[in-house]
Amino acid sequence: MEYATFLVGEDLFAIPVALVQEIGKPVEIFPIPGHDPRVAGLVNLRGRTAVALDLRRALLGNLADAIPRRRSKFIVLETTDTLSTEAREMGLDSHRETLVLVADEVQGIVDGQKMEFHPPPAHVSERYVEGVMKVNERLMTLISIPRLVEDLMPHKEDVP
Amino acid sequence: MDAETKELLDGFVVESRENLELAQKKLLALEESPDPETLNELFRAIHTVKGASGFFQLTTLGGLAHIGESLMSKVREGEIPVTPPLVDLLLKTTDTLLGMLDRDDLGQGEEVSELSGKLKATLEAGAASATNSDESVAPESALPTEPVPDIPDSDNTSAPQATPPPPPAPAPVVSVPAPSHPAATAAVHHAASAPQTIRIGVEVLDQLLELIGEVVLGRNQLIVSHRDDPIFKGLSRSITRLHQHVIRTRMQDVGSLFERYRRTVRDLSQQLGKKIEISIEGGELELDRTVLEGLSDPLTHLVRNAVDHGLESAEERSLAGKQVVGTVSLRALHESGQIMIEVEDDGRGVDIERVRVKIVERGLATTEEAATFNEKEIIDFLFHPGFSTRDVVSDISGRGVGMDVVKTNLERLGCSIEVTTHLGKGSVFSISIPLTQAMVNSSVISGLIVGIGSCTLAIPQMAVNEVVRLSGDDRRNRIETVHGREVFKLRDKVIPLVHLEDILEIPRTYAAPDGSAALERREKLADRRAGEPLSFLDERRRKLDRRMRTELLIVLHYKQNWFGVLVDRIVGTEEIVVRRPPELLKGRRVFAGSTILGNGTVSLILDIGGMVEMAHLDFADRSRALSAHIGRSSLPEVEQRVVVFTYAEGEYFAIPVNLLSEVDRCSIDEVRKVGSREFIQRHGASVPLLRLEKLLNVTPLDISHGSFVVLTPSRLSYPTAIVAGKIEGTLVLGEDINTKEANEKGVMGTFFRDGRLISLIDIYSLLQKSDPDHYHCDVQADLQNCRILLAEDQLFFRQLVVQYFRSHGIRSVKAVVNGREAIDELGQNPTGYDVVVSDIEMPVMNGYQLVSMIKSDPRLAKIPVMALTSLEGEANVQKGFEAGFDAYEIKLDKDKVLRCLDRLLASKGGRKGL
Repeated sequence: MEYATFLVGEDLFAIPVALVQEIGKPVEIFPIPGHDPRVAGLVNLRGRTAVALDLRRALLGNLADAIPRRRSKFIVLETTDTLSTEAREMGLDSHRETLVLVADEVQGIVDGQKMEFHPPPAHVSERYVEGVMKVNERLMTLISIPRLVEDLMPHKEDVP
Repeated sequence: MDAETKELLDGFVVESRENLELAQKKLLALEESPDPETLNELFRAIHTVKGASGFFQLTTLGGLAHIGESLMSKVREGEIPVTPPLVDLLLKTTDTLLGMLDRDDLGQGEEVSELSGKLKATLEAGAASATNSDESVAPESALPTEPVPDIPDSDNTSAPQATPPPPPAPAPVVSVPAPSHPAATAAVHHAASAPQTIRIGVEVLDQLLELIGEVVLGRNQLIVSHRDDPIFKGLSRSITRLHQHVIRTRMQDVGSLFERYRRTVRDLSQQLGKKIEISIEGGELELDRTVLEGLSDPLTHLVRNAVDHGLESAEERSLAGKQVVGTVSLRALHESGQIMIEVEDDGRGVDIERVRVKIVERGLATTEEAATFNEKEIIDFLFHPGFSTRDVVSDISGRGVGMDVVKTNLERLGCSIEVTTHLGKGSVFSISIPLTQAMVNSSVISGLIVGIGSCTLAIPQMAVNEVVRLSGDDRRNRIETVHGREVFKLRDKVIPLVHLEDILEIPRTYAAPDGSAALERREKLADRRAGEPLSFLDERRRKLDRRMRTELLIVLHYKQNWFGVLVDRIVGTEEIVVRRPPELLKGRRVFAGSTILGNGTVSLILDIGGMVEMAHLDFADRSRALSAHIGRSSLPEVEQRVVVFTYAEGEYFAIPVNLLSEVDRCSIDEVRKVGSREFIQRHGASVPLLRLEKLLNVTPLDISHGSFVVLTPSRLSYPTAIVAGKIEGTLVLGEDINTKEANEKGVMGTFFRDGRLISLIDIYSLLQKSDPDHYHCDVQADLQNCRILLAEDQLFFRQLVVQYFRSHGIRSVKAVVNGREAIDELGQNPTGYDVVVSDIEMPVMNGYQLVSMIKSDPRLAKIPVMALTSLEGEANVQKGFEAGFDAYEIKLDKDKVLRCLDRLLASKGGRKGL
């Protein structure tokens, strides 16, 4: 399976290439007032409204401000409906609506088997981390989009 | 069964169901007016079922249909009369057929011998009476292969007159061709009138809606840059039409749901032995089909409830002095951003005290507690599970599981329900559907675009009452704190005030003592989550001193209540395509959806109900507290009052009261003549007298004996007094003014009151005629190209003012009936008008609100706005200018209106009228 890799801060992350619709230059993000800052805001993708996720905040947490931001890149994801049949057969899933991941830099495509990814180390408690893998001496983290989204959904305690 | 046959069978079931349902609907109408086409349709529906059943070997279904068809055949030929028992039988038959179609075995195992028997009996009874007549020619079956009865031999008809006329039996065959070939004609009719339907999945339609939404958004972004491109214009028009049609696939008119209840009411009322009628209003209103479906069960319960519990029996009603026939009314209407569905009955109403007793009996409260409940709280208990005031559980609806389920189901749809009731008079159950539920994804609404901080948001225009620009003075004097909440004094009302930042859960900025702005630090939800908000607290805003900015207050209404929201700026109004809010925004009640504005900005749409919730506005208590604190003031008078006087005996005239400065008596001794003119002394000056007979075709008044009356119009450049005979009194003008008599000669119109014909005088025309040197309208000639938008709700004044303008050659006058229509028209055509002339008191949106909206919209702010009103007095004029009017004139003062128009257009700088 091929993975699209990208940098968020200094860290390398990956998602299955089949989930990626396109990589693009960032366009204006319209923030959502009073909302979870991990949701960067809404964007206008050629007439479609999509939700942009601020990966720096979502994946780096409190460290996001400490590390300087580079040029951003938009990773536009397929929706569950637009995923190819092969992708679905491989057990991949995306989100019902179009999502845009705001990363710092997009790296290349890495070929790997799912089993080459080791389970996340014990101290990593985030549910959206599917596994870790060493690529050129560097640690790469595999992300699960559905679980990331789930993490970002407003929870009952939060709603007033 | 193979796939192909299954598909055919499915098709048969769907089609038969549709035909039978349609036929049933018509059956109900049949009772009122037997209509041959209905009978034909019913026949065809059953006939089709019979025919197809044979193909699929559905013997039970086919058998029942066959007898039904035979019966229908006789009915439509008139052999069997249409009576209520017959309609009942036919209804039962179609019900049974429909029921069979719903079963897996398509009714094969159904027991229908009883029904068949009844049908046969009716058929035979009809046949028996029919054989007595000579009209026994129509064949029973519909097949064209039946032998056609003999046509009379041509020899007979061409024989000399001595031959007796042909026997009556064959003649009808010649002159009535239809019954002899019913199948042929039926087939032709069927082909011509059968509704074409196809089945399509909901997902396909939803995708269509998404796509059309994108197309419209894309088009909207091109409107400005492609303004002059004719190809684009054509494309744009097609897109608009396409959009409307696609929306309609998901929307359905409420009437289709309401109509089903005719049957319900009829059957139920018969069953209970009551006389009840149903009335349906607002059926044209459209809703999303899924919402409509969701309303079906609750409405059914409410309707049955009204018939069973609400309405009394005929005897009870007549004893109570009510009309014997009770009414259940179903209504759908649009109101302040909500759609209301109402079920009203004129029955007994809810007995509050009886409910109070039941509450205690059911153990839901103690007697002491129950005693403190007010009417609304008691009614709320009706929706409590397990509550029912019926002692005997009836089959109909007294089970006590009804109302709470209704409420829960409605809440699941995002709707709410309220009850208003009057003991002895009836009850109204009101379901309110918020706009966001009723709207279909990709529908277009009018939105007011506002800004707060760097954020742009849209507010559904239909919830907006008005926009108020607050000056520093306003902030000091009109904002107060009551019970810890900020409120705003809006004319005669006091409304709660809300900061949009609070609703959105973002920090407010305020002016710190050293002049710089700072953010309010508050412990709130955002703090609990990771990190700080991303970017909208931009540097520029932080540096602004809030005190210096003009604050804008948007007055919104939610159901019957008003509240105000403070925003930073108004961007304008736009037609926006509503998109569902993204899933990641679930739980933010304040957002109803999102849209993309013409300039590409993604803007969230605010939900009024959500705003009310986030601001914790509780209107019920609030109104009590506020009215106690502030005290109420009454609304200004809207009526146009006239003085009625007689001239010569029997001729009545009227002049608007607010155009007169004095009314007093005079005697002939005071009159001085100079030539043919007459004068009296008033306030140290000679005032000429105006006699009506000199200008109008009326009987002359003899003032030589005794005293007479003079009426002095106000604000005249050259004072004149009008002679009158006797003052009869004053009255309020109604809508019933006949303007056919209106002409240049001095009469604006006529009307009747208490059997008397009264002529309404146009003072200024009279003056122009009597004193042309002093009174003439020196309006510039190029005023004629001026384009006027007039907002006036009363027909008479609308006609009058339009006539003012037309009589001076102004051709382009568009009249609308309230402020909302005016702002909509301006929204669609912002450069189409040179001046707006508006009444103050209008329904839906009044003149103050209209001018506020015009002056806040950058596209429209430069258009001069003239207020035309019946309200006189300094205070009103002041209020008018404060609201933003450029000029303020009295409706019936034509001269001034035209001069004012002139002035406004001149000051605009060149009257191009382009």
